[in-house]
Amino acid sequence: MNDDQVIVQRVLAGEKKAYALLVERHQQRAMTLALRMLRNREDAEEALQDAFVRAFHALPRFEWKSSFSTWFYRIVYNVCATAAGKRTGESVRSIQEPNDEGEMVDLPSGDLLPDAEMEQSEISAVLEEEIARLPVSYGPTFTLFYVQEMSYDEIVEVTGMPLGTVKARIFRARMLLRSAVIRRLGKDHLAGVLEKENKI
Amino acid sequence: MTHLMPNEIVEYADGSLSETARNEVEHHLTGCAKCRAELTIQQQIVVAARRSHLNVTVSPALRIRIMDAVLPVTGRSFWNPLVNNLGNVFAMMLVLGILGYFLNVSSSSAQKDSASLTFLDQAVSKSFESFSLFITTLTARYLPKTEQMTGPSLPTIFAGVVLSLILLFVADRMFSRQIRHKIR
Repeated sequence: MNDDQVIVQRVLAGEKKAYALLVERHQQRAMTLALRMLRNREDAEEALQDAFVRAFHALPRFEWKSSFSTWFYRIVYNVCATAAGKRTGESVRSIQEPNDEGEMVDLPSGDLLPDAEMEQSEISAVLEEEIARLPVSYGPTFTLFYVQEMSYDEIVEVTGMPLGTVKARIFRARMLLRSAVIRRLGKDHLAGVLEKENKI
Repeated sequence: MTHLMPNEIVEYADGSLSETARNEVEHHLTGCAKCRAELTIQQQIVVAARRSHLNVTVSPALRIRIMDAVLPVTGRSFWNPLVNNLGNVFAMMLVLGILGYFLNVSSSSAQKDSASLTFLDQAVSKSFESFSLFITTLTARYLPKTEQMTGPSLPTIFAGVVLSLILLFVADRMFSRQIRHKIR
């Protein structure tokens, strides 16, 4: 029995204050997901509060068919998607990208591979900013995969998206981040890269 | 020279390639600096992504709001603030008593014309007197006695206690939620 299960058992047994432990365990990762979806701290906190309250009231009906985190983040995702929909008039889930169904995205033909000598610290700094700026259509699945460390199947269960769409969006997010790194750090190296390419 | 496909590098960085495919990729990487650079970026993406939540802050007030929303406040009796704040009751009486004592001492030479005082002034004055007598009674050995310290009547003492309790109830209603959760 993992920690989440133990705490849930305590809450269901009447120790309602133990729910604060679940909040403590999941609030940071849940806030990360909410921020990726809503892009606004105030909206994210409101959605998160709503999600935690809904989860509390739904605990007695939780049947342990999935892990607690999968079940909980499905609630967070749905609450955030609803909040985003109210704000923009469309659902996060309804945003469809072309080639979403399992087709791999090739690099544009003019794209250049990076020079080998980029410093890792430079890359990390750029990535920290660019991850927070991922498009809303890619950010949630990317976050669920790497922050919540969910499998593809679990993300399918949380988001309701087809498996191909989940994989494609995570891959696209990776490519966007890669392009951002090259764009922001690789300009100085492009001339050298071109020269080396021509000499091969 | 051909290079690895982007998805091959991504899957290698994620550790999701088969053993055969992984060996082929590693063989290619030994002779291709550009693919090694691409791999470096993809590996950094994985590291940065897994740590991205560590920079996200959550305000402590959010947890308080969540617990306020899920924990019922029904069944809380009217006397709960008193029971929960008995320590505060005595602390308030101590503070007011000390204050009243020094007010009495500082105004000892003034002529008190009770007719010119408003009802509120008289009530406040009597309350301070009652608290100061309460304190001096408790600490009679340590505080010098003053001629102005006359013994108040029981109703005056009762009025002073009631005033203290009213102030505490008001303070409790205004601030107790945050205090309760901090204690929790």
